[in-house]
Amino acid sequence: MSARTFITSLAMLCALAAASSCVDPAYDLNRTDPAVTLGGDDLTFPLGTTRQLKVGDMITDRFGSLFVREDDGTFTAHYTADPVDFVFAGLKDYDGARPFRKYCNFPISTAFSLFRTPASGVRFDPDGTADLSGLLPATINLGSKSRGTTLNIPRMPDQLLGLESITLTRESIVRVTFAIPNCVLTDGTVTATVNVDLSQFFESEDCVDGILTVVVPLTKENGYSSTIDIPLRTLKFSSGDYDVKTHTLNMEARLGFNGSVAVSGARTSRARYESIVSSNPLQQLQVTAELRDLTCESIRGRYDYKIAQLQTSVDLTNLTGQVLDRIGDKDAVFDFDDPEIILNVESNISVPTYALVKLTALKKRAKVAVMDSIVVPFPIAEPGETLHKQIRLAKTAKSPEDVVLDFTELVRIAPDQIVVDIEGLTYHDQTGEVRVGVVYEAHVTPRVNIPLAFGPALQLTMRDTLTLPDTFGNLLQDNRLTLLGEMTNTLPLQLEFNMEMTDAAGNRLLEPVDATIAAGGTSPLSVPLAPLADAPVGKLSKAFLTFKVKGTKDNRPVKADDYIQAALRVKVPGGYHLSLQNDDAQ
Amino acid sequence: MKRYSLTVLLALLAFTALVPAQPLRGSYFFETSLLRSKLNPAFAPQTDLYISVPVAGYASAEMLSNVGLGNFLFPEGDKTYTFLNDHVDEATFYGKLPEKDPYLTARFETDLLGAGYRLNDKLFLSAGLSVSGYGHADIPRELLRFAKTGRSGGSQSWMIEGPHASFLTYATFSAGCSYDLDDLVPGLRVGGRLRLMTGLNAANTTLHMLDVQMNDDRLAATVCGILDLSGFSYTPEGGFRSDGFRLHGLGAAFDLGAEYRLRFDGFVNGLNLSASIANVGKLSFGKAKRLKAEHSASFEGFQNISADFDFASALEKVTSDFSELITLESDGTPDLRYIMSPEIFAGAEVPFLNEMLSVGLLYNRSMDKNQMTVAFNATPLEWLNLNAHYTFGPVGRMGFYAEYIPKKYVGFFFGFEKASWKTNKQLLGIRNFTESVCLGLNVLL
Repeated sequence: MSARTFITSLAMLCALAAASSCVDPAYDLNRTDPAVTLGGDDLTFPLGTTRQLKVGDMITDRFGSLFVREDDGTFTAHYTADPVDFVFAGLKDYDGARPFRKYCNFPISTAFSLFRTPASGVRFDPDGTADLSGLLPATINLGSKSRGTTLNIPRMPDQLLGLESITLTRESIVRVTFAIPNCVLTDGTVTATVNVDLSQFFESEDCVDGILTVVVPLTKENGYSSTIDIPLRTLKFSSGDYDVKTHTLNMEARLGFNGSVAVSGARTSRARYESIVSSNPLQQLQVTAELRDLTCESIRGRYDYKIAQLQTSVDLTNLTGQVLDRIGDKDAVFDFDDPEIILNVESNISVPTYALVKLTALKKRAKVAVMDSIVVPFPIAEPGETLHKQIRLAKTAKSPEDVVLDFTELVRIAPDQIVVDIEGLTYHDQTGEVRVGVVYEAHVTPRVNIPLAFGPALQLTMRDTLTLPDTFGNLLQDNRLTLLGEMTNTLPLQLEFNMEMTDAAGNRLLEPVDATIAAGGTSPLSVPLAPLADAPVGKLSKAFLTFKVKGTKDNRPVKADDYIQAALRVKVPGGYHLSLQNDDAQ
Repeated sequence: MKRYSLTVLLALLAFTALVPAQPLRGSYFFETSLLRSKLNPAFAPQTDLYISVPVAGYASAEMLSNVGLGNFLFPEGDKTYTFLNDHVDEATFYGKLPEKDPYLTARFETDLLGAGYRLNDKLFLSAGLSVSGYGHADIPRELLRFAKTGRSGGSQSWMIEGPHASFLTYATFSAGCSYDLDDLVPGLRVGGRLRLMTGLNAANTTLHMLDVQMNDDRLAATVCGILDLSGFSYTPEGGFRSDGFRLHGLGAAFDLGAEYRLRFDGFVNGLNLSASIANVGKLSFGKAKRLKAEHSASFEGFQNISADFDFASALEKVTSDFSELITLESDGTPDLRYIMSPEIFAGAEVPFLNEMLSVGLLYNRSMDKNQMTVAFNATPLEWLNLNAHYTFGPVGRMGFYAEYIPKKYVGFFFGFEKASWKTNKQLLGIRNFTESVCLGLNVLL
């Protein structure tokens, strides 16, 4: 072989070897795993924020007008029963004048000595009159006297247990007449200033301590006689004056008088002087008192009234039935917290009265719970007025007039109906004033308000089903997903969330997901979506969501602005897995 | 057979299909080689007249890169994983990445027409009409790190700057001459070539900024980039369309070269020195259009999700928002001008054994990269040139060249360079995508 041939051959062999290269099958694209991962281990995407699921909207949508939105944003279901009427008819026909009739126009008299007619020293003027000024005292102290009578008044009202006072009509008066019989004076003035003491049986704001001072001028013009009327208003008794057994009042009407008399310009005529001085020289001031037109207007005392039991009822079927139907949970336990009964009272009863209330819960017409002997004090009207007032019966009192009554248990049973029995009674140990001839009645309309506030026994289950897009299953085939985020729940209710994901036939494909969403705050959420072993997650079709709602201990009412909102992110632990293999190549 | 849509990899490998060309490097030291004058216009073949077979007279393709399949594929057991697979940890992948941003450059050139004629003993003339293409793409390391690492380690924002790609084709009419100055300086020969160029089409895109924010509550991206086009039209509705075969610009370049040959007696037969500078000029594209994309999109999650929320529409809206990021809008007419990348060749050859063999050293600066080639050349037969060489440079590679060059009738040459002798079954380089090939078929008269 020549050198040229050798070189040529060697070079060609090298070129051939070089051109053929060295094939490394390890880098064959056909054996390359098409799986790639993007985004890194901490890959997280924002998913979004749900709409604020406001309670106000939800309640309006679901329950229409069942719950009424109050001014403070709370919701209340209102149920009004038919009204009941209490009537105190006992004094309607009582004749207030009759018991006093026999004591009217019955005079009580007394006389005060004034002076003796001077027997000498009287000098008559040519006209036949004489001036007595120097002969008579200018002022005379009358001293003190009293007179009285016992009033026996039977047939006081049967309901009267104790009598405190009787108020008379404004026509009732004491007529007092001041007179100087056979007065020696033919001219001049005798002015009597007399304290009339009625304090033994009379009370009035018009005079201090029942003593009325009257100034009575006696002149020739009034014939030295004058009458005044003193109005009587309230008769006063001692505790033993009223006999409850016989319903009779025994009282003494005693009047006292004292005062003085001033004499001025006293003159007399000869004829009058001679007549008097010879027959009746002692001049006296005659005082006569006479009770007139006494009529009872009202009686203050302790009464014993009792009104037969009245009944009404509150229909709650729409609360239990409608709510349950719309929530779709027949096993729900309602624990409405702080329900209240409002008694709307329109009353003119001025006697301390209370109602004895009995609540009976019925479910499917069967009695399931009873609360009785509930004492509800009625408001006392001013005599002659009619008041409108609400009496609130609830677990917690908001005002001193509220009656504390916890009937939560009664509502928790979710009755169809609450029957309200009401009996009207007066307090025997409290006094009140009753006007004669007036019909005392009370118009009571019970109402049950059930605020949307729940106790810890509340248990509701709500279910929903979501249809999932096919892409979701495909995504889960190659990737692990975790739902992250925060659940904001301003509701005073704890939510327990469960989710099961299945194929169209209902076969579970993923591990069930459970999460608890605390009440009144923000709860972190971390929900891994873990496929079951060998589960064909590509067939994922439905998600069954279950929310168990539980009440909390604070029992705060649910408000219209309360909401649930989720801010969600999707974490793809380990990154987003993607296959670069075309579907048509599989 | 499985077909993979290895998007990222295929984007890189797509340039392989273009198979660009420069590498007549193996012919540099052969006196009889027909077309080595492309490297140095002072070179003249020994043939009196040649005519290139249209299109086949000269074709070359070249691809340069600093990465190969081995940077992105990781065999493990009986499987091979891409760098984005979980089996490949970050440290392993990053350890394989080059220090500089990965790039890929591709060039091709083919002579549509070509001829050379020896006018006399001293002067050789040549002319030709060729079509050339050039493409280049940079892939920022940060982009690859973003794809691989994502949010691992708490990263929440990424600022990726500078992804760039360009492409242009142009036609060149060249005329050159090589003149023997032996009378003036024994052994000296000089040459020159003038190139008149016309642009066919060009595209040049730069993504100035890709700002990605990705945290638990927000996804956001801002894009700022431009795309200059010539020879293409774009409408938002119809997308890109070629304007067809039209001339879109003019340019000119020249090549200059010299060769100096010394002859000795003895085992070493002489010393050949040569140098050239080629491709000095510029090319301007007319009727260029600039499109820009300056958009931001963000997604903070869907708002007000409810039971009747339309996820499909909302998702479509988000997709649309982010698709808008690459919406292109007209932004005037840029001055699309390319300064040609000059190439410098400087060679020294020592022939021996009656010039049947020689060793040569060839320095080459091309595309701002310095390379040194050590060549072993053999001309065992008068009509046969064989070469083996190794090029030192940013990417070391070995090459071979063979040329059948009879005195008359038909000559043929073929040469190639490869940086990676290991390939996969699809013949893609594992160590490096740097490869080149050239071939030609010419009629010798």
